[in-house]
Amino acid sequence: MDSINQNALYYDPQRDISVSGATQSVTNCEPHVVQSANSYVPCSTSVQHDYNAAQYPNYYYNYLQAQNDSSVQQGVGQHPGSYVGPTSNIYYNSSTHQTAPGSTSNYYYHQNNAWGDGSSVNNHAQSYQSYTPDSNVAQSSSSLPASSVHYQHQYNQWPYYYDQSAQTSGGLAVAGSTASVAKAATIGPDYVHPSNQPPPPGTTSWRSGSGNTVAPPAQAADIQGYQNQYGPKAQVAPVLQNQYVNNIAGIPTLHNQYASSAFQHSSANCNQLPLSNQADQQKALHLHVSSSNVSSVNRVSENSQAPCQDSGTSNVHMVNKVQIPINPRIAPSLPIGMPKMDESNLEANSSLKPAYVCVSMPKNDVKAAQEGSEAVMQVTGSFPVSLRTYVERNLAHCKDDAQRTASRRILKEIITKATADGTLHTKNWDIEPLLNLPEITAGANMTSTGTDLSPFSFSSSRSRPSRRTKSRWEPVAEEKVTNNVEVPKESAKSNICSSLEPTKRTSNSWDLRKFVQSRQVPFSQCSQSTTKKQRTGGGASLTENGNASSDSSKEQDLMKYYSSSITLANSPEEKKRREHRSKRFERSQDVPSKSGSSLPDNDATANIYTGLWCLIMRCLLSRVYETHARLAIQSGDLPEYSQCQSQLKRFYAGGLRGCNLEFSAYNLLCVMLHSNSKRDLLSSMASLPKEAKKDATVKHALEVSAVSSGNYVLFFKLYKVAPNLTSCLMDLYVERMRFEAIKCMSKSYRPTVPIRYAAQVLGFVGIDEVCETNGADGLEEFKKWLKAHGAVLSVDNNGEVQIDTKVSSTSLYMPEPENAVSHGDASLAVDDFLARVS
Amino acid sequence: MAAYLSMGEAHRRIGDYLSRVVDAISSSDGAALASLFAVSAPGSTLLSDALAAFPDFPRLAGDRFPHLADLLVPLLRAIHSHSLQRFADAYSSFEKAANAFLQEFRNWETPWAMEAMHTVALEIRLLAEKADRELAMTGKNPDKLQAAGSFLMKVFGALAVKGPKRIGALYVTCQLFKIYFRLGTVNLCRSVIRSIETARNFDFEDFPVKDKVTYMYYTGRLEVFNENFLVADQKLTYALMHCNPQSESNLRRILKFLIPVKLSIGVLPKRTLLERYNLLEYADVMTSLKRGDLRLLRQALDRHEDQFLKSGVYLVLEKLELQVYQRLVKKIHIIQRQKEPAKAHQIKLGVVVKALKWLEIDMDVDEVECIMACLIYKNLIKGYFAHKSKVLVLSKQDPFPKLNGKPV
Repeated sequence: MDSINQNALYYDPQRDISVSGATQSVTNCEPHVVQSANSYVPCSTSVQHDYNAAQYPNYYYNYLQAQNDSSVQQGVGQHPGSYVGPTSNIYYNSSTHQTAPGSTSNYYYHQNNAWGDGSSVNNHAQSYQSYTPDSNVAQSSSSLPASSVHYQHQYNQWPYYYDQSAQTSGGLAVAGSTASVAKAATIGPDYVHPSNQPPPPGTTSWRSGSGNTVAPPAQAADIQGYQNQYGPKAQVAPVLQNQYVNNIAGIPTLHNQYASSAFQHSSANCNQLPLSNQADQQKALHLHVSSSNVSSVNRVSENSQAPCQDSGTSNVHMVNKVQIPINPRIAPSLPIGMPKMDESNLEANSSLKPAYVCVSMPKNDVKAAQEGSEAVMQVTGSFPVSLRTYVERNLAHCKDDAQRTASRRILKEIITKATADGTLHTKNWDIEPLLNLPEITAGANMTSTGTDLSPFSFSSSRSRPSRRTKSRWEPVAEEKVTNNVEVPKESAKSNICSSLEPTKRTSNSWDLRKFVQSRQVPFSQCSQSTTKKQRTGGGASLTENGNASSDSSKEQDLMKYYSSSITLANSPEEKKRREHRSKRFERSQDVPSKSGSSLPDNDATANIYTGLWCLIMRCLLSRVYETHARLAIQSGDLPEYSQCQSQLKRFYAGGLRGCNLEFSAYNLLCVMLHSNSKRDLLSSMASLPKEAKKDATVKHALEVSAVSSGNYVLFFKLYKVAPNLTSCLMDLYVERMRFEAIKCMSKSYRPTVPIRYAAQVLGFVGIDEVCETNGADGLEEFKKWLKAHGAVLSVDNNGEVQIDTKVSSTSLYMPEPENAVSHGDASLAVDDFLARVS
Repeated sequence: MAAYLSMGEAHRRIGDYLSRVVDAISSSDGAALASLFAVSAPGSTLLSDALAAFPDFPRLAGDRFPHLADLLVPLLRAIHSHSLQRFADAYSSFEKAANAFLQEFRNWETPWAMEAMHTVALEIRLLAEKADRELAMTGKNPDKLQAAGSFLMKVFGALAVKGPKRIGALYVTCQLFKIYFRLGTVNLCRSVIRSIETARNFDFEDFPVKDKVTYMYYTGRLEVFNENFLVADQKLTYALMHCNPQSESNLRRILKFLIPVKLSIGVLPKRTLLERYNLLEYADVMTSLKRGDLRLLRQALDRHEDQFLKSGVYLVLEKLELQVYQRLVKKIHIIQRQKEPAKAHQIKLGVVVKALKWLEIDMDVDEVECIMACLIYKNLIKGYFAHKSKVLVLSKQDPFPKLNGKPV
């Protein structure tokens, strides 16, 4: 059965607001397309710690995260997974964390929803109460017959936070992440951007403001992380981000951990990723990998970081926090070689970290249990007893001495950290996920929250990823899990960006809630927030393959890869998937839930997974590129932008909608303003579909192009009303336009032009700003600008400053841009080079 | 009828074809060879029937003329596939044959086979276009035309050398232009153009006229894209002058670009010309220039937008707006001179705004002022603008200079 539920996460704007005054949560409450509606239980301020994972044939998890501080509730993610295994229920109690002031504690609430078989299951309406704005993640988990799969679907997003609901079923999660990424982009100062975070498959939700700082930028990282994770997953089923550890089919499920805890920047989390994944992630984080996807991601993250205050540190943290539980089955394929033990571990962690959504891939290691639960951590008070048992539990899972040693070391770190944090006593160690050995990390936590231990947690989302449904402490359970075929489904996630805008623009929320379910749907989600910046924040998830274009081939490759690692027979699936996708969604829930093993019993299920996965990959990829492109636009990096644009063109040509109109407008502007080739402009214009010309952004772009040759008055009028990121592109042209205009004025006006008028038409002063005080700054700026360009000013009888046009017409010049060198890269300057050599 | 063709007859026809090719090569008969290479020509049905009836033709060709097997076998295959409407296959085979032929061609010192080479160049382009259509229909990546482009670049490399073969280079260049324009990769034209125009040892005028006309047409269009109107005018005019006057469709194609270019440098065509060559889409544009009717220009652009965008003259026409404004101001000036000669040279901004309002063009005073400034700046009006009094003061001498062949 594959029920794919998409859970939409809604954020409460209100909550968000409460959290950070500055940020406005974006309110897009758009229900996600998700078929299943999740009901949110709003958590009131009271902390709810419960994590219930009920195993239902289908599992639903509802997570509610409440932040203590803000009393923000995180949306509850429902996971409509089909969990069958009765045993599988896990409770997570996350006690609230006492966090540093900034930290918020998140509570996860897991509601288990039983899936009704059949359609009913699918549709879960999540009611989000107050959340409007945010995205949600809808995660749909499809439960396979095997009961073991857990899906965590819901993400609660704080307004600040981005939720990414990562939907982890394979590809799905990715999509989620992307969304989140996008959101991430908008980061208020408040945010800590964990740009570097390895992208959680799921998205991460960021909180800004109060303790949780989720950095939207992190999303990019997430993506990468994602990729890493995915590699193994390729097989299929979209895993949802929430940490579902249980992947039955060997499909790696990603758990999203919702880290309710806020990250504090200051706290360093060290996640050690033992695995190569870590390395990759780290690279991604630190290095900008030029490689196509990755690179893009990185950049994104970087960009996003910029806004963030402490991007560097935060990133680290983020990374640490991210946990990727790896599915045992997957593991073989992973270079890392994770021990297969971990079934129980799966979920672990994420809870602590504030913003993260951790995707945990079930890892082999039993130990690996993630500490995501830390987040949960809130207080359990018994330090000694519960902690001791926790330690014992961890050690018990170790298969050999090496593991034991490792886990001891890790535990020590954890305890040390907890002690340092003061969370030692507050943490509920019982809930603490077992360590994942390989990865182990101490997720350090942010002050506010407990640490995440889970080795791979990619993203931190505010909401913790759902824990793995199973109790971690049951080793046995894992096997079941692994056996089970799970189909994680994804639901769409919507991310909302809370908009704190660092910049002026208003912010916006992202809604990324797109559900991947149907192709059509996927992109539409993005709500375009008015503000540019927020947009950029959108999370991008990367797929392994960088290219979106290569859907099928890559998918196939992935499939092979995955299938090899997993015994499942996936093969036929891909082909069918597309056609039948929608149907499949509907049907599915019936899968018998067997607690133990379940492989997908039929091709149909596998097909569905594959189809979903592919779909998600494409959607996510395009989302990633969109986000990347936006960031590039914001940072004025046109070459980067045009690379994204060319990728996006392919996506859009392939039928993905996304924000294609918006991007065709950007493309138009970019070509018309920054390329000398009229031919490119012509072909761009000629290729605009009819309906595109009705789009406001496109229309605006066309108008701009019409006046770019001289009508400066209209140009600046349009500049003032530029929608979306259009103004960023126009920004790049403003200087040229002004210079052209001042030359034109100098030549055509006699004897003088009042600078007040000129400042007005050249956009230095708002046209409507009659107010002296407002105008004064603009005038001063304009005067400076005029002087820098060689204009000559005079004062007339009335004391008004005028431009002496006759004199100015011969004295105007374009000042040399600072640091400009002919080859465009100041660092390659010959002088400098010679100086160094000599 | 292929079905009734006896094996013997089929064998005979194929053998006949093969020996004609070999004979043409051995006797250096370029024209004969060219006709034999015309894969898509309708005359080859006899042969293709034979090929259908005698599926073992590759071995026949290989056995009989082993030294030319590289050329003959794929050539027969191409003819066969083409007759079966399998164009992608036909293209692939033909490209192999063409490569083999090019290899041979390089070794021949005299350009006797130039005609055949040109046929190959033409055929490969036509086949590639058909193949791409076929591939696109079946959802595959249509990349054959691009491949044909690379092949023709090789041919161009073999021809654009010192010596007698160079005379054939322009033809290949034109084929390349056609491919690049179709693919939208006109920037690739640049290297070819440079190679043609910078050659010191070969005068451009020595190329065949038809190639020169084609070449000038395409390079003129490129200049339109680049908005080098003077050069474009020069090239397109050359093409027009040398074009075969009987070839109305070619004349029309040239005029389609030449007219906008001329308009932009201030030269208006007669209406009869537009009618004769069925270029009436420019009629309104022309009228608007004469009347200073901005609304009409915008309407015309809007009405023919797709067409103009496709041909690439949209932006050129859009730029005519300033000329229309100029005309409008000029008309106002003339009227004012009649009514109030003393103040003929002072045009109040309000008057212009009012005139535009009559045209249902909604512009505020600032915008109109900006337009006036632009007109002065671009030398469409001589005079200056007094901001304080909002008056456009015209020069007493020639306030509206004609463009006279200079672009705005």
